[in-house]
Amino acid sequence: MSSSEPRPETSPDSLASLYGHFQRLVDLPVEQARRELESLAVSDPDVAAELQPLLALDARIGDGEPLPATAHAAELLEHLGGPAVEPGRQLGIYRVEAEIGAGGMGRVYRAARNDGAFERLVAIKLIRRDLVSTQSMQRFAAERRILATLDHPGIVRLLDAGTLEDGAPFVVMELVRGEIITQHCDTLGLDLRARMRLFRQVLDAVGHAHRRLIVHRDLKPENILVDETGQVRLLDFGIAKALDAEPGFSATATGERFFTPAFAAPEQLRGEPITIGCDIYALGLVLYELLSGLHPFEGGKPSNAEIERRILLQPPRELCRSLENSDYAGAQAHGFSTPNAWRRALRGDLDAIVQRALRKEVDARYGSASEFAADIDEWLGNRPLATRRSQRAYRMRKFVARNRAGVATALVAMLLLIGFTGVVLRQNSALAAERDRTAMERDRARQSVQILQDAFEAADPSRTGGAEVSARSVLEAARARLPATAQGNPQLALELARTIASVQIDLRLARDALETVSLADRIIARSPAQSTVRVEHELLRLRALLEAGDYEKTEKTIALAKRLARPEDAAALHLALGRLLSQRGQYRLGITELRLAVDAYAREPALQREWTKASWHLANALRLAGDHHEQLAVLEPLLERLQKELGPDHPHTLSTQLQRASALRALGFGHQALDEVRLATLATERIYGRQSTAASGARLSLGNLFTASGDYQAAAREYRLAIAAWPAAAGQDHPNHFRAHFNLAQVLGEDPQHFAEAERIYTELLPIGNRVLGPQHRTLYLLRYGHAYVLNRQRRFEEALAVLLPEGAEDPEAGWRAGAEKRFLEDLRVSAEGARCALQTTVGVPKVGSARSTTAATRDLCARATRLLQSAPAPAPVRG
Amino acid sequence: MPLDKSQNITELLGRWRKGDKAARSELVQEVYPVLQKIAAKQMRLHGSYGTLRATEVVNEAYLRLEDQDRVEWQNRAHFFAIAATVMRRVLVEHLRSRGRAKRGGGIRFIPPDQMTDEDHDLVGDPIDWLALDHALVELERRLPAVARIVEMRLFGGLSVEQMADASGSSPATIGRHWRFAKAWLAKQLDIEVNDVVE
Repeated sequence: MSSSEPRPETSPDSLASLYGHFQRLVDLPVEQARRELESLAVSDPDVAAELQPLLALDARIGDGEPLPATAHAAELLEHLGGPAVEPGRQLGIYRVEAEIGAGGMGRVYRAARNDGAFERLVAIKLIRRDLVSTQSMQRFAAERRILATLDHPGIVRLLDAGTLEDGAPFVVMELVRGEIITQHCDTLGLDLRARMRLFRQVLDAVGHAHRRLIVHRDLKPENILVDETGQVRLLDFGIAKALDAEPGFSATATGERFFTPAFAAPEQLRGEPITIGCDIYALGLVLYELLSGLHPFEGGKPSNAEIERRILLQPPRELCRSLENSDYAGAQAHGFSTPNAWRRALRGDLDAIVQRALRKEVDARYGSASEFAADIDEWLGNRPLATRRSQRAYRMRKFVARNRAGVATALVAMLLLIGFTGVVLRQNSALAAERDRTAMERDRARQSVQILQDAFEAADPSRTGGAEVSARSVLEAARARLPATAQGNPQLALELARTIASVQIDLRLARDALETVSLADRIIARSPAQSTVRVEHELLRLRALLEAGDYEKTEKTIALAKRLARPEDAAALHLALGRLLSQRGQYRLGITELRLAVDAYAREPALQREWTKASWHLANALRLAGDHHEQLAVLEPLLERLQKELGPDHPHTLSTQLQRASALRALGFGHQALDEVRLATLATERIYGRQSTAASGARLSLGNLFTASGDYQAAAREYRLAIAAWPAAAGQDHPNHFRAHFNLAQVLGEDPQHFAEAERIYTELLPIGNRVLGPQHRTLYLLRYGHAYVLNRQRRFEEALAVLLPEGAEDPEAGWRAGAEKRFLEDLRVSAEGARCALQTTVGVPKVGSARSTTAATRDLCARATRLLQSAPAPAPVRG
Repeated sequence: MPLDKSQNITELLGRWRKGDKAARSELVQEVYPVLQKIAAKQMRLHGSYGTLRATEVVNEAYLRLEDQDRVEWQNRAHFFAIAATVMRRVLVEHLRSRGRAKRGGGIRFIPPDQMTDEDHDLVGDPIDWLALDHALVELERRLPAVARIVEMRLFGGLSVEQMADASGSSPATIGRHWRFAKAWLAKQLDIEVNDVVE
């Protein structure tokens, strides 16, 4: 409010008279009210002038009662201020025939060109004199020439322009017989696809203008007509800009701006530079209305100021949410049988498209009409959208998809993180009967959703300024919130911790998972946990430990879990034990345990996901044991199940296919295997793109296949392709990226020409592996053995010894070395021999200190090597 | 409050209901100190912004006068109609006493029909109550019935039915008055319309 000082006084009589006229006119039909106001303007101009704004305000205020006249009063009043011309009047070469419409800018007439050349009907728009300054008139004259270059079937042509004697400008346009796009769609009851196709036409037309650097600036349904042939026709292109106020001339001072507030972009309201982004935004609003029948910011009869506030500050409501109060009639007008079906159709892609166009920041919107159109084409073709990258929910799904694709193991549980929320919500509804528990459950569901959302917010690339959101950063952000959550709701915090740990395990972020598990330990320690929680917690810890390669602790945890276990935990324990034994090279025992797990899960239809995992591990153990026949026997039903459940293009299906191919290869069906893998690789590239974690993973598998067949050259090629295909956004620290490098180094290490490169890769990978996998990870040791192998082959034995026996404890590796023992001892022996640590090759005759090494460090290494070789669990085969 | 005072209020009420217009302004005088005290306490309670919740004040005044002083109101609407006038005076005098340096005088007056303040930011009152008072004075001169409706609605929180009861007009008439008043005041005060209604 500007001032508390009184306004110029209304005379007493006129106030009473104003009241009388107000009551008389306020409920009249529009046309009648207009006529009454016009005649009042003649008989009592003062009262009429007072009354106009009151009626307009009344229309804006509303009060939920039916307001026949005032619903249109605002438009009516604007209309009243405009100039009028009588039918029959000649404007240049045009003869005015009849008034055909009126809007905020002025009146529109139908006119005929009658300069003798040919008869042609046109539309003449007479612009209110009070809305234009002299300067803007001059600018309009210049702009006209540019506007005249617009030649597109979707744009109504500007034919001519001029001014009346009093200076009021008019423009002459093609006369279009059409219907406002939204009305057109509703009248015909067009379904969403038809509406989208129409909107696609609008984008074509707008794009045409944008390429000529012409911005519409006042796009709204009223300016978009559909003619009898179904062609979209855009009105008033560029006119708003041509007429807009000069800098320094406050358009708001006149109470008018050359755009419709409800359709203005945030930057327009802020008075910032107008770009094509404005039109993109307005198109987003039009699309919103086409799809939902509603305006995102106009709910509840807001004032203009309120609309502006919402445009600037509020995110538009999701399309499907805006339909909460929709009815059957509305749904049927949009081609749906029920409001629910309508809502469902708007969820997801369509909402993503609209929201992208409606982003507050110009840069976040579609960069052009054609980019906008591309997404619509994808939608019309049922293909995934480019745009959904920018949406939070999409980021969530996308990161899951990406990481799922990137990890070679069967990560069926990847959806857990999202699934968790769903589970809580479902449990919630199942528990609806239990009144006392329901509120708590709902609260938990809400909180867990909130935590996940916050996590995604925190990991939002636009906030961190970093690359694309990585799964790891999201999980880290989610975990960071747990201690606070545990204060108020330890049970929820615990559930979330376990969910996060579980996903971390599946992403092979073993170290992160262990940290999360120990966070859960602390939560449990503070709040008494039921034994159910305890055993599930220990089973989770088992998975994390196995993934981290900490077999000693795995063993202890298995013992503990066994004491706590219920009958239904048997399968999980078999699985953990089987994995442990297999990792330690005790394949026979491991396979027995894994089979028990697979069989147990097979009896539980609800545990299909677990069955898949167990099968995968069983197949893997069989592979390690060299039993490829059995491996194939396990893989076949697994593959069948995955193809049925997840589809042939799912990453798990593809990776299982790759494993099956390598089994075939091992059995001597190489060509068949290779063809299969090639096909799988091509399928992966088609689905995920050549530059994707999935494509990279497929190349990695192909490389492994070549490695297995001894074709190191081909293998190296595939590994290089795998590295090249790795998208930068997925992060250089990803285990799979790491593996591709490692495998490349290994095959390069077989070729003397590439020793130097192999060595360089090993040296670079070690610190990365320490960071990514954790210092205890099995792969790190394999990496050192590989490095030592290359050094040995170059007869650099002392360096190899240093690599094999890093600084530190006597033998820090004994605990986990397990499966790779043989390899380690072989490499160690070669190095020790080469370095002349022991004089004899025979194990068991150490001559500590007799080495002829020159430095103390080498002497120390030799001593350790000799002791290790001496205490080797099994006699190592004598090298030939 | 001494006994004779509550007797006085009861008596004044009876006279007012019988149509004695002078009784009304006397009632206002009687009720004023009660509301004033409650309002002052509330403003202290609500900290530096001094939020003044009309509904709470009026309700508390009603209960206090009824329970402690045994004033027989017979009808809540009648009391609220009086209380609206008093509330307006309390508010205006408070604002005047604090000077007009700040818009809204640095307190937030929460009118009765906006009882939840979650929707409002806490950094100032969207309505210039002194200007509203000023406009009401003008309206009272020429359209007193309309002005009374505004007062009852904005300062007393009366429903249409209560206003009809208290003023003797039909609900339809009250609706017409209110509708005109909203538009007229919005224009007069340059108020963003949503600040006043709903």
